[in-house]
Amino acid sequence: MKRVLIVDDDRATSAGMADVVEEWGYEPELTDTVKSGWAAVTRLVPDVAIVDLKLPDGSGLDLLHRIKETYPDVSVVILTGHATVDSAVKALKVGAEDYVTKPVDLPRLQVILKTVEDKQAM
Amino acid sequence: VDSSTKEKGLDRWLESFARTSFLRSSDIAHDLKTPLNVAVLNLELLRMRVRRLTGDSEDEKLNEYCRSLELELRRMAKIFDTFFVLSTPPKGESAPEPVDVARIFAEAAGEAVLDSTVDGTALVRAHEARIRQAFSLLLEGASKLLVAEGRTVRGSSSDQCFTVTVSGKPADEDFEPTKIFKFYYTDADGNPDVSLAATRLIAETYGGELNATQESDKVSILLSLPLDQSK
Repeated sequence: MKRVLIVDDDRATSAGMADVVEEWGYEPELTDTVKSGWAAVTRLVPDVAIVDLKLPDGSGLDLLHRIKETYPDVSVVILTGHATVDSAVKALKVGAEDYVTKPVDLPRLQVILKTVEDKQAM
Repeated sequence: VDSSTKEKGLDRWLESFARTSFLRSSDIAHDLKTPLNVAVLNLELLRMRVRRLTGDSEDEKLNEYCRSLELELRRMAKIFDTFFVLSTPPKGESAPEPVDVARIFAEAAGEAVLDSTVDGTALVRAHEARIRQAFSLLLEGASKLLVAEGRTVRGSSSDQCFTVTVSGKPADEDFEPTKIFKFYYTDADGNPDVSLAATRLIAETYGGELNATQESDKVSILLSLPLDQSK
């Protein structure tokens, strides 16, 4: 079972997201800051990290940078509530697998996770 | 306290209100979408739960209710973006400058792959990015409302304003011109469409208007923006 780390400071969001990905057959783990997200990455080395762009102690892009520098095989999906896609495009340039905007299009997120899974299996 | 003093006080307060809203607009839109996201997630969980409890059987009525709820939640997200992002100046930009809206319109029509005609130049005091979004939303909304055959798209200037007119036959037999600018407008296929409501809000921000007229089976949607009279 693939491990999915969810980094979002809104508990209701991360809990809902965790339940959904668990239903899809993944093993979720939750954190809520850049700091705790990084600690979870080093401890678990998840297959995928779903990272909110706006976190209380920094930007999700900071966490993305650190993950890609140290664990390039960990796929990162950026979650954003912003209307413009500027920051999401920045994230893709740094190496994010993809980005999803809030409210999350769940069928699209499922396809992204499946694509990541297929790529990692190759 | 006389009425002019009261008005001045209200103006000062409105200026402060607008400034605060502008500075926080992007964050407010983001924050408002967080509970919507939670609702969408829980709706999906509810659907999954019911499916499990009913032995993986699909209930068409339940699916229909869920789809409808989800569509409305997504509509609200678009409304938040319109009010808190599209109707405020782009971040980091200063006061509106005269921009050639005829050129922007021609480019927007080209991007939308629509044949259009436009005359000369037309300077409007505005933020270019927002005007581009307004034209793009107008063409997107009008293209869905009016059938492609016989549809015309035209930009023209008078002494006072630059007007974009999209005319043609409505796609929906029950076309109602007053409904299309409402944030609750839903197209004939049941999809929420806030594009013209958003266009109108942007146009009004820069002193413009968005209207529709209907003559027998021909509908015209008109966006007009006041020309810069400072020169």
